[in-house]
Amino acid sequence: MLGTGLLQGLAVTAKNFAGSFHDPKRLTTVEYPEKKSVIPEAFRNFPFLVSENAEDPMGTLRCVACQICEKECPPQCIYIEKSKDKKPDASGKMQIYPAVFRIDSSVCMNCQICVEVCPFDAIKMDHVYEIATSERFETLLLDRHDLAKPNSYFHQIRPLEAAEVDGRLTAERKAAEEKAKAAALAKAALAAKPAAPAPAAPPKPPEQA
Amino acid sequence: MNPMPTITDEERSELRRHGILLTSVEELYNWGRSHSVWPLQFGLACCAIEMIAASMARFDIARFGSEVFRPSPRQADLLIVSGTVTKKMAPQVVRLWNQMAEPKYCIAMGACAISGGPFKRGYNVLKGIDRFVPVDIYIPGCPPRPEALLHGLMELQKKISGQSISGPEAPRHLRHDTSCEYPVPEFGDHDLVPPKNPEVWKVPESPPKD
Amino acid sequence: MEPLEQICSRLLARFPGAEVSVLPNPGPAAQHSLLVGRASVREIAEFLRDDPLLRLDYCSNATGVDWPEKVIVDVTKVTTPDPAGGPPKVSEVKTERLQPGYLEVVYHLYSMELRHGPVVLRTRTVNRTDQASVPSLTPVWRSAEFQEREIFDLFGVVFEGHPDLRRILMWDGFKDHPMRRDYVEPEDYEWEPTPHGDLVEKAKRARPPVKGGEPVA
Repeated sequence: MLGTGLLQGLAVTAKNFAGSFHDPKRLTTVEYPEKKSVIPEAFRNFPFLVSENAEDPMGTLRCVACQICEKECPPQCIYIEKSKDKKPDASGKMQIYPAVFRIDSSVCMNCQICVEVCPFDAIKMDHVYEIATSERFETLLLDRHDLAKPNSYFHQIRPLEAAEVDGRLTAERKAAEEKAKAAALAKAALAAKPAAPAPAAPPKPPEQA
Repeated sequence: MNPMPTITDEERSELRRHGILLTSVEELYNWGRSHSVWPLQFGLACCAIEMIAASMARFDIARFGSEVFRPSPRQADLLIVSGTVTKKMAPQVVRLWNQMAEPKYCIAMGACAISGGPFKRGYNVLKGIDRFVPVDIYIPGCPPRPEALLHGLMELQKKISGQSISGPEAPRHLRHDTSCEYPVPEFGDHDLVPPKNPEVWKVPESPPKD
Repeated sequence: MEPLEQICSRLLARFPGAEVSVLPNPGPAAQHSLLVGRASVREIAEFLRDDPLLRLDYCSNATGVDWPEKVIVDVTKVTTPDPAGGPPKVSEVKTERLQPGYLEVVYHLYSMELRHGPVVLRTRTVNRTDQASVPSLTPVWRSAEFQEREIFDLFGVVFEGHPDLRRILMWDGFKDHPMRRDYVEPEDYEWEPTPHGDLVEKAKRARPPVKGGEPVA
C-alpha cells in the first residue's frame, strides 16, 4: 500500500519520542552539565607537562627542554627557554629543565605531534575541554605552572598509556642501572689486575678472576 | 551617583531557602536575557560542524534556551563565529554584527576565530575576529567539543547574569556613552583598511605573563 | 599508457614547429613533464584530449610556479700559451649571466575513459613583469576555469581566452600576488606570544621587546 514506509518511519519516531520520557535507552541526549559523555582514553585536547610527583611539580618535570616539540609544532605555538643550571631528574641524572615553557592555547590545534616526537614522554594530551574564558590575553597563554600536572593525573585520564610509559621508563632505568653496575665491576676488575702480580715470588700465585 | 545596593548570590540563595522570594528587576531582566539567547545561523568552517552537533539531539543546545538558530541577524542575539575568518569575509561578519539588534553577544569558537589559529600566517586570514567585533567569550579548541561550546554558552549566561542594569558596569545597550554600530573595514590595496579596530582590539602593553 | 618520450615524439611529428620537450623531474617521484611553448599549447592540449590512444579528458589540477631570476655562474677553462715556450697555462674564468625569471603553469591530466595518467603539462611565460600571459586551456578542459582564476589571483599570470578572468580568493581591489616569492605580507603581528624564526623580527617591529623570562621556580 502506498505510504506504509512513511508510517513505519513515523512509528519509530513516535516510539523514540514517547520512550525518551521514561526509558533511558531511548533518550539520546547526554544532559550536559549534569551528565557528561564518556571521554575515550585517546581523546586529545591541549597538552600538559608530566611531573613525577604532585608535591614538587616544577622540580620533577620530565621535560629536559630539548625543544623538539617546539620545532615540530605546526602552528609554532610552543615557546621554550632552557635553564642555565641543572637539576637531577627522576633517575638522578643532572638535566637542564625548561625555565620558560609557554603554549598558546588560542593557536594550538590539538594535533598531538608534540606528544609523538617527545623522546622523554614529558608532554601528553589532556582531556580538559571546559576552558572557555572571557579574557583572551591573560588566560589563554599557558605557562609551565599551568601546564604541569602529576603522573597520578596522567594515570587517571589515560590508564593504559600511562602504565605502558611507566613500564617502559622503569625498564629503561633498570637497564641503565645494570649497565652502570656492570661497567663499574669491569672497571674494578681492571684496576685489580695490575696490583695482583707482586715483583718478588709470592708464596701463593694470585687467582686471576 | 550612589551605587545601587546589591545582594550577593549566597545571600540570595540563603533567603530563598528561608522561603522569601526576592526578585529584583535586575535579576529578572538578566534571567530573561541569559536564558533565551538565540544564535545566528552563522558557520564558517569546521567549528560550524561542532556547532551543528551541539544543536542536534545528543547535546541539544535548545536546553539552554537557544531554541532556534535564526537565519536573519535582525532576530538573533548571539553571533557564534565558528571557523576561520578570511579577510575577504571580515567586512561581511562586521556588517552582520551591526545588523543584529542590541542586546547582542559574540562567542569566538575555535582557534581560528580567536587568533587565526593554525592558519594565522596566511595571506587571507584575519588573525582573530576580536580585531573588529567585541568578543564576550573565547572557546579554545580545534574544534572545541560540543560540550565545550555548551560550557562557553554557560559562561556567557553567567556573565550576563552578573551584569548590572545601571552604572558604569552596565551593558553596551544601556549606556549612553557607547555606540552599537561598529566601523566596517574596507578592502584596501594590500590589507583591510583599517587592519584592526583599536577601540575593540586592545592588546595589553606587557608581553605574556611571566 | 605510452611513455612520455613517445608522446613527445608523436607530438613533434604531428606539430612540426612546436616547442615540445620532456622536462625530467630529479626528485624521487620521477614524475617527468612535457614542457610546451606558449604558441602551440592550445592545439597540443586539444590533441592530448582527442587522440584515441591518450584521451586525456580530465584536467584534475592546474597550479602555478614562480621561478625568480637566477644568477648563473659559468666556469670555463681557458688555455693561454706561454710566450716563453713552456707548457700552456690553464686558468678558470667565471662569467655570470642573469637567467630571467618566469612564471610557469602546470596542468595534471588524467584520462577517465582509458583510466590512465597523469601526464604533466607545463607552459612558461616570457617574464615575471610585463609579459606574463599564456593561452588559457579552459576551452579545452572546463575544470581549468577556476584553477586558472586562482593562478591569475595568486601569481599574476594572465590567461588569454579565459571566459571570466578575475580574482577568486582575494578581493578584486587587491594589488599583490601572494604566492609569488617576493610577496611581502602586511605587518599585523602585534600579539605574538610564541614567535619563532622571522616572526621574532615582525613581533619586535610591532611592539618593542620587554624583558621576558619567568623567574626560576
